[in-house]
Amino acid sequence: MKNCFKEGMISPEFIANSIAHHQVKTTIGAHQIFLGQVRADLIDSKEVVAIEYTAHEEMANKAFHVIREAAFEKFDLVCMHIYHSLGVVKTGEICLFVFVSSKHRKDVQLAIEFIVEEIKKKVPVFGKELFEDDSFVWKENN
Amino acid sequence: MMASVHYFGMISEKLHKQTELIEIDNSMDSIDLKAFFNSLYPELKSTVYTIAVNQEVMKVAPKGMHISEIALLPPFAGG
Repeated sequence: MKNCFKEGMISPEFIANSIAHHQVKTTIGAHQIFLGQVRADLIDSKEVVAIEYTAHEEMANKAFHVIREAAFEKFDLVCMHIYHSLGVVKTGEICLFVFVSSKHRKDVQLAIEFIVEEIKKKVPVFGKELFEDDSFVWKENN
Repeated sequence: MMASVHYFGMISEKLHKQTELIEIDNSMDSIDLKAFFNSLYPELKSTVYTIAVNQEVMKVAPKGMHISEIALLPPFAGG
């Protein structure tokens, strides 16, 4: 089972390198990327400064695998990558990187929407929104 | 049988523990897992969570099921 987690933020350099690695795959005609970024929400007048992510890692990696299989089944994809952060990710930093590639744009546009929604609903990842004064609230996906 | 029980996120925070071993007797009847844990830890009654047995989400563990791992999962926040 592939490990989709990375400790800390997903760096812009890592994302750029991932794109560069696909230049040799010349059957691809379209990429679509989703980047989740930690937002500085205001909650009860306090600003979020970071999110600390934890997960049931084994279950989560299985869930990522199931989502990946479903996406390949539903859409005509050439390749697909998912990376999610664990640990503390500061506001403005990237915590989710989904990268899908296909021959044509329609498949990747529909696939990215499907994959991101499935991740939010089905992957056991938990988030603690941290404030500057060391207090926190637990984040919950809508 | 002894099951390894894992607590995550706000549940782990509420119970002040991440894991423990709990004796589960599944020989007599199916087990309503939510009722079992809410009775064991009344502070969970006001908490939203799902339960996974052997990494499969389920509400009731059927009679005789081999239970090696139970996870209490609060609302997801990935992405």
